[in-house]
Amino acid sequence: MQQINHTQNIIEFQDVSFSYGEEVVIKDISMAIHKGDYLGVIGPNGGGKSTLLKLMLGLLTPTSGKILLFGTEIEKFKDWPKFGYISQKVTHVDPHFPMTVKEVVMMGRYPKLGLLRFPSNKDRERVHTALKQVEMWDFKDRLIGDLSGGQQQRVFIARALAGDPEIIVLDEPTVGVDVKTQKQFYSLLQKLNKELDLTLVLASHELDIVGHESTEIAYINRTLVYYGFPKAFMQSEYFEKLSGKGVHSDA
Amino acid sequence: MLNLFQYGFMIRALEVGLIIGAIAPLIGIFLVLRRYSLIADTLSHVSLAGVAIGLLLGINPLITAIGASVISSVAIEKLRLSKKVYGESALSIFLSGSLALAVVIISLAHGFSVDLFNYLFGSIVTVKQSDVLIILVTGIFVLLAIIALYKELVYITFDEEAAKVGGIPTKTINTIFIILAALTVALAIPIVGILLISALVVVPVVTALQLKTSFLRTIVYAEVISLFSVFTGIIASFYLNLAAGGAIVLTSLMIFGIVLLLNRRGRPAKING
Repeated sequence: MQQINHTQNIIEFQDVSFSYGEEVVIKDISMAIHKGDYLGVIGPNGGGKSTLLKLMLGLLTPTSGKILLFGTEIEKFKDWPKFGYISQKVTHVDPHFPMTVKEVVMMGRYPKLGLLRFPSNKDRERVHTALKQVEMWDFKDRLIGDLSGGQQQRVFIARALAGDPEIIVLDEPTVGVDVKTQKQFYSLLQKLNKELDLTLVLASHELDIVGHESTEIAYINRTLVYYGFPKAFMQSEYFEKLSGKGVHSDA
Repeated sequence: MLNLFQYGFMIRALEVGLIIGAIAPLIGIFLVLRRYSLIADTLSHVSLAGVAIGLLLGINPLITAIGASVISSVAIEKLRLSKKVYGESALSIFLSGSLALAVVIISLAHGFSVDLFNYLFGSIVTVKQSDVLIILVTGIFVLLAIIALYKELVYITFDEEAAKVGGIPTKTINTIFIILAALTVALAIPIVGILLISALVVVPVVTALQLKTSFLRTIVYAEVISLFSVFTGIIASFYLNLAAGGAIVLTSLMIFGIVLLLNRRGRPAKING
């Protein structure tokens, strides 16, 4: 698709549509996400960004069309630990939930471990590395609810990393976080993409930032309005139209 | 104090009480954190209908209570997930419906009033030898099942979507869990009583949550509080001739009050963030 030069298709959408009852949320979307991509999924609120993410994660089933993950049809796909998911909920952690940072990150190992197996030293080591990678090891024994929003985000990234994923999907992870924290968060994502070669899919309404951070852009407003390089997108008529009005008012 | 153990019923009560005391907080922690502890109340009322059916038909009421509770738990989940009614409404329907059924059966039979009182409030003498076996075997099964599914339950309770994405069969595990909760509630009836079970499921967990510590430690604290309450409650019930369920629950509430008080004193005003 377009002139993007990556080789392996990790996620492929073929004419995917999804509706809630009568209401069509996603219509005839075809696109591919390749290994190493840092895809920014942008678009107005209610434009279908979250739905698109949930479709690729198997949380929703398409009304029509086909989704392939690592070349396998999603219904037959079993290798879910390859996916890390950071949902919108991340910024709404129950402050009274009795769970330490270490325990949260260990959860990232659970899908890999499978039923009836308990964490070993190897898992604990992986938790250690993951927390070091996001620079949160010093907070390992703190309760998750006692941390700031930005710190919680890092812990959730660590949780995803602990599962040794190939792709991390993030749904509006910076909602309700201040600008400075947000900056640090995006530089962490850069590190994951560049240094750890992780594929990233990031849904956001922050057009400007995502335009500068990501390597590919998918602009979704029910249909796939634009797919390609951010640079080209920012010079395109869409961007002018959108940033002029602000994406919010489009919803 | 020694002569306590000369009585067969006391040994039975303690055996049964301690296994119930052990599994109640394990179920409770997941129910409380998922804001779903009211289901314990609903299932206990369903169990009352089960007990009434058992008394009417002359079957061991514990068995009919287990049956009613398990079947209803699955039905409640189905109704809740169908989204035809709100979650709490599903609980109300079953709570009041089964209470209505129980009352009708009781008035039909107008007999068993003494027995029924014991089932409502718990009694150390209600536990029959045949019950001990059922409760021990089923209780140990519940205990092992929770340990086996511990990881998955923790993940689902904290972040159900992420658990699902990770490939954890959330729906199956939720169903198994709710059946385990139903078993626990029904098993607790002879000793704690229908009206007080949910307190045993909830209070030790809520007390442990005040201590603000890790998940594992919260469970350990809840276990200690629960087992201590059950033990103290049963002993008090023996010496002071009290309803066992009431004594157990009051003990656990007393600990809750103490923890709340100490927590207030020991800590400076709540810090934000």
